[in-house]
Amino acid sequence: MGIIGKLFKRQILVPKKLPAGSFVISRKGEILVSTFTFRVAQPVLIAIGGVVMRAFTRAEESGIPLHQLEVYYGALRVTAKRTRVGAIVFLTPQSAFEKKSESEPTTIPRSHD
Amino acid sequence: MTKKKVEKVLEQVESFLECWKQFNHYIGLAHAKKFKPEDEAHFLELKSLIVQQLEFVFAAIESGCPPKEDVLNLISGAPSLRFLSELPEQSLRALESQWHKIYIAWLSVLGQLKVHYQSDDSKSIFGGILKGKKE
Amino acid sequence: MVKDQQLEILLLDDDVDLLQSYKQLFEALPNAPVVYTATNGPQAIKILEAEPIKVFVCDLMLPRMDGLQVLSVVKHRFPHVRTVVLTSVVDEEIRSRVYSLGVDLFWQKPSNEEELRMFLECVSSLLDQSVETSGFRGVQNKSLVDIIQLECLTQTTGILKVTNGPLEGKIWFHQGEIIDAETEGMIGEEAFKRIISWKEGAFEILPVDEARPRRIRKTFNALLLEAAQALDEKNQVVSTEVAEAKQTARNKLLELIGDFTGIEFVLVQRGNGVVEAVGVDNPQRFVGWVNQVVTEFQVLGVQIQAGPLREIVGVGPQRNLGVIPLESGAFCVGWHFNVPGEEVRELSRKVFARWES
Repeated sequence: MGIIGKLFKRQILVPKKLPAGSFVISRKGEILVSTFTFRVAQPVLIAIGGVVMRAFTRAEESGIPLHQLEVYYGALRVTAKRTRVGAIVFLTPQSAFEKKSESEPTTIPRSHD
Repeated sequence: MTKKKVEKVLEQVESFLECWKQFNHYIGLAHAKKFKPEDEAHFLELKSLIVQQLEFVFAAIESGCPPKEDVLNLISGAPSLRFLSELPEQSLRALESQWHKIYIAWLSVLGQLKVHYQSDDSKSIFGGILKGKKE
Repeated sequence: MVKDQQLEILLLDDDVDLLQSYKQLFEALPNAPVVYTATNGPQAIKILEAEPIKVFVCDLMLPRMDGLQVLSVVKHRFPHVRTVVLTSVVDEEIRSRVYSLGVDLFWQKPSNEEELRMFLECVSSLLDQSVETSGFRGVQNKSLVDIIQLECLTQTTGILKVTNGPLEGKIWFHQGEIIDAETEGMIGEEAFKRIISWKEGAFEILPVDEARPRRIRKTFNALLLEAAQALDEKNQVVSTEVAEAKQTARNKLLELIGDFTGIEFVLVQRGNGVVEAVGVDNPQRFVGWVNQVVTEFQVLGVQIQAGPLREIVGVGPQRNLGVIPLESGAFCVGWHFNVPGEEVRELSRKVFARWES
């Protein structure tokens, strides 16, 4: 059972989880405060905050000011609220099996006759 | 107290105030009963940020701050959006009123800090606000 | 794909012994695929760039670039490749994250011969399936027409629920006859024609919950013929001239603005730099912003292994924006500021699904 035997060894592994929490980033890109554990590397938060701040800044420069951004990935949602000092950023891991919240739309597609 | 340190403290107080303003936004959501599960999660995160920032600010500012208990008591009285949405109108108004009182008090602190920052004289009458080596 | 072209599998695992063992097993499959191996992410991506790989089998715990990162890149750059995760990790959250990425199969490394046999059968089945990315996924990829025909032939009484992104439609059957349909505020034949025009999605069969009045009296073949004729007429218009094709694309965007209340503009930015936009005088200011955010957030998503970028929603005092990345470019909808921010995502997806169909 040479080949088969080699295949059936198990390893115990610790899965890496996506960060869940929030932080405040300044206009200069510094993390002012965060609710993440020490295991979540600062560079990750700075990278996320940087992209968020650039999105807000570019929107303002383009004449389309925004006060909130929501970014939906397959496994994570990033919500950012712009403030005078920078932004508050919330990270929420998503599950493929999460039920979508049912919101009642106030606008509906017009029916076709 | 160096200008750089004052700048840092200013930044933290401003950030605290911005988070404090967001707190009122969530009270509004609860009042209108228009919140989702993710809003509940964000509200909890916001409270965590506010409490942490409060500690930082109190560590940096010696005197002149509104009582820490005011902020903590208000936050303790708002365990969740669902709880707030079920409060009677009067209680919610009292909460908003208290929130506003604290907001104004902290705006005043911010103003004092800005004056201190702009002042050339490090031994200004406002020099005693911040913790640090006495010159 | 050429019929006599060999099927190719790529295996990625940092355990060289395991890699060789699985290589031998895959090479012994009935479809006799060519098996490539790699021990790290960058190596695997180079092979994917060079070879027409059909199925990609990947471990999660890898050096340099971990499995989730590799899968994010592969799903983004090679969407036609079928992906399989083969891992020792036993965690519901990880499995959920893997499926969020769009992976076809998540399999825990077999611990006995029976599990191994089942795993090899699954991989063999993925190799046999069509490379098309569109199609309806239920048990297997089939066209919607095939599925409806099957329901008619088997004299089904039930509800066929069809989902196309945020859009949902239902077709009622009674003893193999189509009796009604419903989608997007339409019912009857109109709804049926709309549903049948969707190119891809997912389906499920539901039991009938209550008696449904009969609104469709035509046979399935008659309905299909009408739908095919309408499609032919549409195709004839499109194929006449390039300018007419552009006008049709513009008309399609105009139609969207007409169909949804609250839309300010619709903008499609293609990878080749072409921009189609209606409802906005100066689309370039939006194009610049859309390009930047889509690119930066996509790169970020790979870095933090968050899965594919699906949508970006911007809420502002003047307007709200819904952005959906395309394979190359982006689709952007501008909404009036009085459209609630929390509805922009869902509404933008509906607009996009309508535009795509």
